Amino acid sequence: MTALLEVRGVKKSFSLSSGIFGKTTGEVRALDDVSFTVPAGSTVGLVGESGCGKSTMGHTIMGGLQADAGEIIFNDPELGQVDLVKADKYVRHKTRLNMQMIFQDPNSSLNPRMTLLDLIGEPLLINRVLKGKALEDRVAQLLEQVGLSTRYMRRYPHALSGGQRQRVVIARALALNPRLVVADEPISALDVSIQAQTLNLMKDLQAERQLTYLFVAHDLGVVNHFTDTTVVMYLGRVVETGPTKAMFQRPLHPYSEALIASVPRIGAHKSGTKRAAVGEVPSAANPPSGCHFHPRCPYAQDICRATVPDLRTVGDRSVRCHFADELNLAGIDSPAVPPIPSVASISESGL
Amino acid sequence: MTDIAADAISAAPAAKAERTTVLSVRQLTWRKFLRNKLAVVGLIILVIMYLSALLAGFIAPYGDRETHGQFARQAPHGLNFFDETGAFHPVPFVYGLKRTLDPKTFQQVTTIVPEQKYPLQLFVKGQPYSILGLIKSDIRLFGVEAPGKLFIFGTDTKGRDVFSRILYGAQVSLTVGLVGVALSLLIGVSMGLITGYFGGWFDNVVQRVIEMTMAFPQIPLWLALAALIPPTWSSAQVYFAISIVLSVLTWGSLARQVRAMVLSLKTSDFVRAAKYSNASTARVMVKHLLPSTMSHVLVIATLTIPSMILGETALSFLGLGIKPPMTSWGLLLNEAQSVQVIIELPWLLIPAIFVVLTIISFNFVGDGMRDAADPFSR
Ligand SMILES: Nc1ncnc2c1ncn2[C@@H]1O[C@H](COP(=O)(O)OP(=O)(O)O)[C@@H](O)[C@H]1O
Ligand code: SF4
Ligand SMILES: [Mg+2]
Repeated sequence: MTALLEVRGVKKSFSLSSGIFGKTTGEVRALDDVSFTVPAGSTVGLVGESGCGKSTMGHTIMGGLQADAGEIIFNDPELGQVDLVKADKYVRHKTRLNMQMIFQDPNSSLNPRMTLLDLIGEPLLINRVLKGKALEDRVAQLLEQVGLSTRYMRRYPHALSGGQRQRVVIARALALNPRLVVADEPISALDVSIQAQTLNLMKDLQAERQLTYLFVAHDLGVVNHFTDTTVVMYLGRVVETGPTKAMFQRPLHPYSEALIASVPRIGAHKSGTKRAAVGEVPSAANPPSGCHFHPRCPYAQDICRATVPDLRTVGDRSVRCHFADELNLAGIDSPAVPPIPSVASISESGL
Repeated sequence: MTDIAADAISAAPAAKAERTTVLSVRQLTWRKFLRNKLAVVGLIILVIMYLSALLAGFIAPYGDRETHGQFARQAPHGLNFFDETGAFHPVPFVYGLKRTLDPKTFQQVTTIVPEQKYPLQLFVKGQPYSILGLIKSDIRLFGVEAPGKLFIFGTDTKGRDVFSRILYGAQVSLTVGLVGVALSLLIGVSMGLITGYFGGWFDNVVQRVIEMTMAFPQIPLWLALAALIPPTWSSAQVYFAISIVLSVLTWGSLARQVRAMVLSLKTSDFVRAAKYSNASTARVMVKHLLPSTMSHVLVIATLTIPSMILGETALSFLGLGIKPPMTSWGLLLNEAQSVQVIIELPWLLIPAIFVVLTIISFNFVGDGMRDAADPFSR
């Protein structure tokens, strides 16, 4: 598989200002040397607790935020390989026809003053793909594809349920027939009862249209079933990447172990030996020294407080931990027992 | 897997829900507005007032400059249903009037002539008038036959019918605020959009200018600006100059509120979604930002109109606003400036009642709109 998207060493900081004169008092390293690859046609999960920089990554890819450093290489069907970080307006416009975003909260990502026709038709209208009757036909087709009645075409989003609204968001993202869809926690704002439906819809659409997903989630519960590879982030840094199955069976990073341990499962040991991460997520503006995870890591030693571990490649996986080779971390108990697709939070803190 | 998706469609809403679900935001807002009784009453009063102002020529029994010299300073004399013998008249009438000189005080006194009764008539021929310059006619809604006079609210010192002049004055007083608000809407909203969206040095300059205009006390600044209007200008020019003066102080606060809303809206997900679909800046502003600020803006605008009407009244009252031959409520009140006049001709204060009624109505409507502006809140 060729890479559709390749993120290389991307950095993005936000400066924190305070006071009436807007003095810069500090900065948040929302993305600190982030690298991962999204192969064409696959689903890559981007996982980490709230505030670790997942949305920042998504918006940087989409061009809503400008990276401070690094490269984001997109393999555009027309333009070939382009670096989105250095992209000019023309390249941005061109590539956006092939990459779209699904937002977390459909209530805020749909303009309440527009009908479904206007909302879903907007990308087609702006990019002069279709107009008039042809546009209407296409919107009707898209509505059907996401499982909504075409009767809803002239309705406003407030007349729909949360799940239906998210289908509208999906339909809008698919209107231009993109290659890459960045889905920023697309089901975490939905009722638990409709989360599975929405995931199924996304899976079906992926099969029909050979879509590539960058799927952002704040826990591993969903990711296990949905993604081919998983990227785990902690406070702006990638701590582990690799095939989802292998990671679940034997995580290499203590943070991944903690995330896996907190996924609720049928038949899981009540008194497990796995250790979940304790304590709160530290402030991103003032991250711990050395390995960011050390205050919560049960395996932490002196070196962890002093030195930042490198992201090392281990076969088709990579990990950022000083003791990755020595630790024998626990994954899921028995791969034969399928975990339920539930989206429970990994710990009370920070979510 | 797709059958789960199909489930969502088959969960068709009930027939009643069906009807409500297709309502637009505007319709929802309107429904919520109608639940506020005071606001509805205010709206009805305003509609009646504006219609009367529009049809002033038709409704007023006399023209605005029509003088009845021998009946100057006439107190209101109303319509009667019962005559001096106590007999009931189904069609009300007015008595004839006679002016005599009191031999002791040498003052003009009016006496009624019981023998002369002029019944109220509909569609009477009066002075010619035109409505918006389109419809020309001389048929007026009501009046009494020729030598009889109908002065519901009395006459002023020059013998002009106060009731008729209040109607004509409404044409200026009720609209000068609207024109002023329209101007400040235009300036305020576009400034708010631009400064909020782009920020930068232009935003800084505009914010400082707004702060400066807001630092001035309102009435003295209006007076100073109104005093700058050249006395040679025609009354139409003065009218527009006054509405500009009124908007000078209000566009700033409007621009600030729009700016604040744009600041938060421009990073909202639906604006981002539009940008990620290659929407141009102009499209984002006009299609997404502007409509989202509009309901709030209209509420502010409605609540600003009363202060503009008061502003016009104040300026005209002080002789710095509308000038004759145009008339306005402020100008009518201008005649009631001295204590002497108020004691002798208290009916000249009647226009003030209309000013108060209009302002209260606008405030009711504005409050109702504010509550209705967010139709999704309960
Ligand atoms: N526009 C911004 N200005 C300042 N800080 C920001 C901004 N956007 C995000 N951040 C900070 O960057 C960090 C990562 O945020 P985000 O990418 O939204 O995390 P996630 O999506 O993983 O929850 C957080 O600490 C957040 O406070
Ligand atoms: S580097 Fe140390 S603190 Fe960090 S995850 Fe590995 S063992 Fe834990
Ligand atoms: Mg996020």
